Amino acid sequence: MDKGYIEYICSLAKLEYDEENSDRIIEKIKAFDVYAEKLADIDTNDIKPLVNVNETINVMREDAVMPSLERNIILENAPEKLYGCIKVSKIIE
Amino acid sequence: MNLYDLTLHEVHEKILEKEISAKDLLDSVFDRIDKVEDKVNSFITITKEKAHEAANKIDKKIAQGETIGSLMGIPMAVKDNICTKDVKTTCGSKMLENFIPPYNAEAYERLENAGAIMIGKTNMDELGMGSSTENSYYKVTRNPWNLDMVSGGSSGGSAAAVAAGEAFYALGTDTGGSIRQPASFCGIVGMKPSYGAVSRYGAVAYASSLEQVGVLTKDVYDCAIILNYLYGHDPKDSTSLNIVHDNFIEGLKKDIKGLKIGIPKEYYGTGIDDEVKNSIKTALKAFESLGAHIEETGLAYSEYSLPVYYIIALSEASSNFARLDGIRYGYNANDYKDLDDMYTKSRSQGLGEEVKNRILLGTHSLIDKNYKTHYDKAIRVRRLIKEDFDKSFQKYDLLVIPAYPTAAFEIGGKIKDEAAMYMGDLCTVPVNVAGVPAMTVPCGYNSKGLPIGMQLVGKHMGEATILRAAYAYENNASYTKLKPKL
Repeated sequence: MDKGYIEYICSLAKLEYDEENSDRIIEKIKAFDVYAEKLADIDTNDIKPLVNVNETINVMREDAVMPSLERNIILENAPEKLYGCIKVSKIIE
Repeated sequence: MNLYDLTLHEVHEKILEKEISAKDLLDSVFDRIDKVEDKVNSFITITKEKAHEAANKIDKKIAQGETIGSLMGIPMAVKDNICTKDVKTTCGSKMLENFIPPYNAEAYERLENAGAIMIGKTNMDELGMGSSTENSYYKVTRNPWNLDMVSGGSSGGSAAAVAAGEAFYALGTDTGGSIRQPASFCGIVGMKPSYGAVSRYGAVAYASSLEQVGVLTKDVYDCAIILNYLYGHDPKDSTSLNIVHDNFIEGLKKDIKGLKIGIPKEYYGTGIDDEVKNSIKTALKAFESLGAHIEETGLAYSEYSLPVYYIIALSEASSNFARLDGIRYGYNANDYKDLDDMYTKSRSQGLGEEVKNRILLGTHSLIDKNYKTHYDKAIRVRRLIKEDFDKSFQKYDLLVIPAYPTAAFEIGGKIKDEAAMYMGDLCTVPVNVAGVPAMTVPCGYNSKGLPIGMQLVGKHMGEATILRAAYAYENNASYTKLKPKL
């Protein structure tokens, strides 16, 4: 694990990479990995993953019209808006 | 006796008898807030004007002869990660400093519809990440029992507000102990319901598969009252279960003769303070004298709960908090060159260190090369932990464990003893991993006069048994109950 790796996960998490801080993050991740390695003691090959304790999947309901929020109310929290829309930077070069 | 010192059910009786009005109650609570809030720092936002408007409406309804429900006209507080329509919901973060939700969280809405009067939003560790409320962007909440001590966290503001008489009860959230530990530190009752029992709609998600909205109250009876309102299916939360529950208040009156209580030995090892052990030992004697059978047991996978918890919680956090992108709401960095730069700067400037560290650890656990050994491994071991609890509840009605290894620790002090720190996590997080309900009940004080709590853990959807046992204990506890001197 090196500083390049920290830069990589920072870019994935959309967080600024701070070189001065990177040694501290490396130490944190190493300690976390030692913790995670403890789980290797257990053979889980035949154990199914448990994502949600109630194991609810694909909860369906009747298709029905429900109240929703008005555009102007949603826009109140948007930091930047234009022409009744949320403004974002150009994403297509 | 001041009104603010009474419990929810006691003031309800007074409203019912027309001895007092909603306005009288509100005045008493705001007088109390004026006197103690500067010392305790329970609140991020106080909604005095809104509360008075609501109290006026309630008083008019009562005057017109409307049936008076248990919550009508009674002031309460809401943790600041639970959305409240038109009232700022910051999650203790700079990122959401100006966020005003356009809707209510379902849990709060149910109480509001029943006539509850919200007086403010309580302080918390940023986005729920912390266990002392020192990690709030806004302020540090102090423990009403000793202002040099932490109130616990992350629902520390909610716990302190209730203990200090600033609110009759408060909503909190519990991802890995965030209701139960502050309740213990502040000497009150705190309930983390079964996963799926209470809607999470509108509660700002940190680790969705672990957390629940719950309540912090002055006593067990009050907790039963609130749970009657909170429980039940919400179509807006697909993880909320459609299960009919009994009336929790009626269930309180049954005795606990023959109740089987297991004492899992793993939770009483090195690191648990002797004063905590002794208080729980005395409480267990009270249970025995009421006819319960106490037996030592074990939960073999306990030690694996911690890595499982951290991997799952931080992985889910890294995914959940991707929504904090500074576009639709929240902090937005002004100076950026493109979209990626805007995301990165907004998140880096808006989020605190602890949150950023945890997001990075979660991202690390989810990337392709680590997925098998971290996240995938953790969710498989999670099944074994849950089965461990399930097996235990085939034999026992309840498990009793410490709410925390110690009483409240000093502000800025952190726990120095590694064993105590480890036990602190062990006492609280396995319950969330297994999705079972657990309640903190006060069970005494240490030599410094700080409260000690124990946890009653029940099987999934077994809240009625927890409440019945806790109520029986509360009415037969041998220690003298005190109030914090502020």
